[in-house]
Amino acid sequence: MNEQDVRRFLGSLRRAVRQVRLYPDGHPLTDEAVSAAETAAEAIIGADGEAALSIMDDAFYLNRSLLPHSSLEFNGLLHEMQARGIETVTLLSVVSRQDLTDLAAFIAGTTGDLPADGTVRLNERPVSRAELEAVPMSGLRKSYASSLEVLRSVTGSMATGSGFELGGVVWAVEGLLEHSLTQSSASLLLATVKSHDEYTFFHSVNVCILALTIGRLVGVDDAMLRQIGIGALLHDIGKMSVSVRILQYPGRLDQEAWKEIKLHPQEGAQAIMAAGGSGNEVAANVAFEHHARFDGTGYPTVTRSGPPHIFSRLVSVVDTYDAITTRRSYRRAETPNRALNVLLNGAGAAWDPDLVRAFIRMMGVYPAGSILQLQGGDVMVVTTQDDTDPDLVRGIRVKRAAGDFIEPEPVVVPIEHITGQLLPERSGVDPSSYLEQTESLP
Amino acid sequence: MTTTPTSPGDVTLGPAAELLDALAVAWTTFQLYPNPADQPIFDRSVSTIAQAVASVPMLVVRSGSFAVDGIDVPAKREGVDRLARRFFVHDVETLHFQGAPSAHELLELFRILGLEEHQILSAGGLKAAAGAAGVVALQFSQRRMLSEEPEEDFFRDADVAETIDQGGDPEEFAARMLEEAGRDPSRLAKVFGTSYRQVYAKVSDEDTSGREEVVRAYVEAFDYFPREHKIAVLENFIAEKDDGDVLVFLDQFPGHELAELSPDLDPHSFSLLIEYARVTKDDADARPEELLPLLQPEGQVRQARRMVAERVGERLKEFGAAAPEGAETIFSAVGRQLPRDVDQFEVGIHVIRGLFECEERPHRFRRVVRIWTGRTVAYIRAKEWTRARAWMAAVLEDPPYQPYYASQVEEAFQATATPDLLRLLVNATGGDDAPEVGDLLRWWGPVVVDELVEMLATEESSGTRRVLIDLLVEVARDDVRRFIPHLEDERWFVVRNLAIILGRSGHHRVGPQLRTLLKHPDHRVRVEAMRGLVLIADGAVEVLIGALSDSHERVRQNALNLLRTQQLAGSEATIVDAITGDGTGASERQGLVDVLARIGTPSARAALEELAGRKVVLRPAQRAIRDAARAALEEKETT
Repeated sequence: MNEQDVRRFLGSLRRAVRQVRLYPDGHPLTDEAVSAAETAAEAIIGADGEAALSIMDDAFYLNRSLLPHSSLEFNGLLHEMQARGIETVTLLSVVSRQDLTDLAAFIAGTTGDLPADGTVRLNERPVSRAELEAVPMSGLRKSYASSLEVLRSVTGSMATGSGFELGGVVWAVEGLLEHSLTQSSASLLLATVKSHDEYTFFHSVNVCILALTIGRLVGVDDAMLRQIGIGALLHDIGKMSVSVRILQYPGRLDQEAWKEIKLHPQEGAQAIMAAGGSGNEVAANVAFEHHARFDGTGYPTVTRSGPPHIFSRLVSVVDTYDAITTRRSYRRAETPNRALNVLLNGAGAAWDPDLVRAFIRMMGVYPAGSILQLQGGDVMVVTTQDDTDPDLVRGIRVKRAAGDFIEPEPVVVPIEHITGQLLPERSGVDPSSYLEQTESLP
Repeated sequence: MTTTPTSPGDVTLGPAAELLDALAVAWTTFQLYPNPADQPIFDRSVSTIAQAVASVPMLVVRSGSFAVDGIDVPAKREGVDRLARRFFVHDVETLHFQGAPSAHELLELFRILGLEEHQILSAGGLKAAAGAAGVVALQFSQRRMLSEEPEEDFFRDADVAETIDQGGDPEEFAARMLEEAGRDPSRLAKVFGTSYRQVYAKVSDEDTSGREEVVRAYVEAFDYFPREHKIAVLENFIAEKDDGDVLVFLDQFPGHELAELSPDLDPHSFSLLIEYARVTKDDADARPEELLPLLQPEGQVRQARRMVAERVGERLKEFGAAAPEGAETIFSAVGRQLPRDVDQFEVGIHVIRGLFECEERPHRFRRVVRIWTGRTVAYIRAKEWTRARAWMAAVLEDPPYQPYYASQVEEAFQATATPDLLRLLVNATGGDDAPEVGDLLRWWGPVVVDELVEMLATEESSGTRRVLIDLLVEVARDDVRRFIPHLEDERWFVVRNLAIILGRSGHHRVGPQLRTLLKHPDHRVRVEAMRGLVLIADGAVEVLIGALSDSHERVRQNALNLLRTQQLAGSEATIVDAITGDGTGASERQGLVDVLARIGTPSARAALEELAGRKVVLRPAQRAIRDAARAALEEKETT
């Protein structure tokens, strides 16, 4: 089983569900998504003639195998399918396009009709927990997915002008806190997951994980870690009030557009102050100050008696790091290593130098999630730095020089064997998809 | 040939039906024959369309038909409904014939209609694809999607679509350009720069994803050029760094990448690059900021170039080596900065002041005010007096907002002061936190005079009444204007309260109002008005003496008592006039003798002696005055 095929199938299905909701029957965009789903479905089915996609405990399974990364990446779709009572989707070769269209419409809720051609069957073969792979999905990944869901809910509430409850956010942070404390290396790897469609949500969760991890290392107590976590998770919530056109504008923004973007810290702080009673002021301050620079510049422009609050400075460092390592509509992504260099250059001016040093120390020269090209052309994903020898990098080899993916294998590589760094998009490697393998490493 | 557009009102639907039938026949022919243009029936259809087109207005595409002015065109050929569906699924909303289409245009149109949907989409939609194929006689408008956020109807130029397509394989795209330039760096710079500018300029403003993909295609192709060619391209671009389109390209590169190339740039380009970095520094992410070390004096430039260009990993290792202390030391350096106990409330004050300071948009400012007042109310309801006071003070003392928002803050603040909230505060005035509560009430006082006056009117507890009066007196000391309307109240006790408050305020401006109250029907009001006038020392003696002739004994008695407490030196003649005049009652005149005696000045004594020495007094009342004067003099002599 190749999870890449399932990801393609779920990605196409998600697109088809969206199109069915928006457009009339027979729209080409729907057809296109269904066609892609059809191709991916056949790849999943392979020679077996059928394949069963199951949902159990917030996770997708293909036949008996857990699909950890897909469960996170398509968390929204998973919830929609659960809401429609779908437990299993059995795909029988040759899958009919009409059945796939019907499946999309059923998930979208535009019809109650089940696929009629018989090549896509819903809940026909319910699976029991005992039948499924015993390996549970990483709790960290589950927390990540839950946090995404909370952010979707929060922004949905904000969009309708109904405000939001901080309860869900606190709960999400608790989950991330619990898992990032016990699995800091894994959490750093998971914090490399990106989404171009839902940039702000994934970025926010990444920033939260990174902030909690560095916060813990420098000795912030649990109560304050929660506050940092809430602030980090909601630090960009103010962007909900910025026009999508501006946020996704693929070029240099004019002054007016910049002016609007620069309002998001105060928008975020207002939202948190309005939503939370006493006890969430630090979170609001983090949102308010995350673009305020260490040297007193930045935005919003307010009278300050000193640098921003240390928790805001902390989130500012990790926010910059994750933003630089993510592809945006207006610029390319950078490698983690390059992002650290940017932080280093700005230490003392834009960012607190002590925090930058601590962050770089935590991340290592090649941070977890870095994709490295090795002598000979093989590709590895860094999982953790070697605490005993800074000239060694630990990770998993995922790709051969010829370009073919291999069964991931643990490697320890001397730093001089590294010939270059790659970006996920260019290399086709998604570092966070190797989380479970990382967790099982000795 | 072009025709003038025709409105539906000018025509019947006949020509439209004829045209659509012919179009459907031509389309069917196209589908059935490998060389449709060679078929006579195709030619006839083209002619029929050409004849009908002048009388056909704009056609609206429906899911299985075409309509004019809301009425389905009664076409006969069964192919018409399929044709309509075909247009419909490609989101064509209307068709309008600008002129007679040529056979070639129709063939191109049918070819496009036969493409896969994704091919049409990647070309920017049917409208764009047809335009790119040279179909000009037939104009389309695209239907907006049934999306909650409809996408703009934009035209994607064929070059844009092609570039995006080529961007899918940047290595191949780069190779093609290198080949076109004959692998000559300077020619490549021209080919690349011209191509980029031309294609970028063709991207519709609304086509945001197209813009992103076009830039991406060129930037990724750039990565595949040999270094020498990259330098040439960069020199070409940096020379036009003030052009917005060029900036978008340059902005894709982080500083260190440009810095790596910078040593090979010619001096002029190098200086332009530095200028670019300096200007860009303030923008998002400050990415080219890494170039700024190159701004150092000439002698250090080489070293600076090396520094910014060096391998980042090595630099980070150097950083690690420069900090030989272990991780624990680095982490504890931050740990030492951590506050032992974060006071969330203090942080909140910082945030709310910051929000008040930076929020300039009126509708959002109102929201900030609501956040502030809402929390103020919450603290008061929770009886957290100290916090409530500090929270209010954060905004009211040294206001952080712009002065033009002052009235908005005051209004919102006033709206918050509900009677139950004020009651909570008033009831708390006797508690341990009295100073904080007092401050809260004082801040609120000026804006809640009406509520407090009403509360005072209905309050049964004398202790609470005292608190309220004290509070209102303080408010009145600053501004009495809000009190004046209450003097018209029909309830005597309300007016009495006001007279007390105004008098105790000591405010000279209230003299006229208090004088008016001396004529109030209720004697209790008159008493307090009189007292008030004494307190503000506004013609007190005249007022009191005038009050001695009031119809109510309580007023007269109070006036006399007050006269006894006043410093009356200089008023002796006035008092004597009152004693000897007719307007004052007998007992009051005797009382005035006593007042005169208390003055103790020589002129008072002389006046007393004059009263006491009168030989002839006919009326008993006059005798009583003389006797009182004599008694007063005797008493003074004995004491």
